Amino acid sequence: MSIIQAYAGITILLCIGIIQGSIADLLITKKYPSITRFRMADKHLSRYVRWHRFAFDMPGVFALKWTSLIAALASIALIFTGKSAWITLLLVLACQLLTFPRWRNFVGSDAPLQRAVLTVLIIYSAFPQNNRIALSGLTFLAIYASIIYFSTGLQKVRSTQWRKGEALLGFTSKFPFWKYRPLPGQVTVFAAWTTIFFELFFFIGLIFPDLAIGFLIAGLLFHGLLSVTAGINHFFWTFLSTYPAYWFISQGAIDFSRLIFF
Amino acid sequence: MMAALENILENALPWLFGLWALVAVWFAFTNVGPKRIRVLLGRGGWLQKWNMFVPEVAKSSGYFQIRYRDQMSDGSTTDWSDLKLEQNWSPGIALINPEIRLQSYMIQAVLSFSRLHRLNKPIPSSRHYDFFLSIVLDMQHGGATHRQISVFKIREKEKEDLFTTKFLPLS
Repeated sequence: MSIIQAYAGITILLCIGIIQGSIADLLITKKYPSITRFRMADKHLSRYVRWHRFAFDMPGVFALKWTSLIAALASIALIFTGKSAWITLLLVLACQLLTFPRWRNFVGSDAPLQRAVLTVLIIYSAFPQNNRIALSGLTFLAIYASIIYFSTGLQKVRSTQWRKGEALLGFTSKFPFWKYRPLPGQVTVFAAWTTIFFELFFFIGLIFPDLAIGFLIAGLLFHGLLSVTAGINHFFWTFLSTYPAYWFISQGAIDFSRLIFF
Repeated sequence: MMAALENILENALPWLFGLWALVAVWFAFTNVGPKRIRVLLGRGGWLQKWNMFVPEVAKSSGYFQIRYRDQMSDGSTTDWSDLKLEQNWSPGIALINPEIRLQSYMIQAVLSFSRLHRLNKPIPSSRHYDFFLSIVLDMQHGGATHRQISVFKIREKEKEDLFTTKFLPLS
């Protein structure tokens, strides 16, 4: 995989997620117009965000949601035509930031990773010929994804409920798919520990390149299962967008770190 | 200008990204440090403490029931109905699942009400209160003019009334 291919993969995967999320936001708003029409009281808003109220109140919030959707589509199109997508990606990031005070309550937990991926993509797209910049970004994304997985794995392994499989059972029971197809006790414990191991040891693939593909397949299955059975599909694209960086770095981590830092 | 910027970024980016990763570690693994700085850095969705599917005490210590009843134009009232946030499963939810956004918000809002209730603080002081009510009032009402909303916390067969509104006008 070349640097260009890695970045193209990251851009396409992230933008699919942004398109999917934007369509979902627009559909839920059509059903419940208050989601965008409700005017948030100043007293509940930080003074740092009040100045851009125009962006998260109607009609701005609606316009920026469409802008984000179109800019993400345009970014994919630009990648396929081999052109730089830095302006459209910057537009996506600006829309996400300006409208965040409203949307943060409606599934915003993948936002920090999305911000990191967008920042890396924008900088790379502005200077695509610079290998050092490109490698810095890929290294950062691979490490950032590993930090997130490791920290959540650590919290899970510390939780008695997770170790016994009770947390996974409780979590799955909230979703109709699992409610009517409950996992047997032993399978739940096995699945809980598999999740913990996957999250805790994801970073190992960066040190042992031969293991990287195994972790990527496990990650794909993990996020894919969550997406298909529980509908948690926003995580799927955001996390998957870091996988090309993880794969690229895993295939030569030591050499790259020398190139970047020395 | 661009060449100068490229030169600066080329040298500074590894350290900037390294610093970003370190701050992410600080957020992810600890609760220490000045709250003000954590809030500032967390603003705009740049950083957070990741806790994917790790059970929170508040979430695992019970569940919630959101109920409503409508008043018709002739003054009669309907029976109480449960607000159903759950939807039937279909493979399509992997592609598009708008409802999860609403569910996510409702859970956050009700958790905020529950926290205030526990602290003996007025629930309408929650930043979610008016927003939450406006969304529940948006739900289909088939000719009704007003709606009353009630939120309960259920724990070990005990039902605790978090709040019940007056009849509120439907738009």
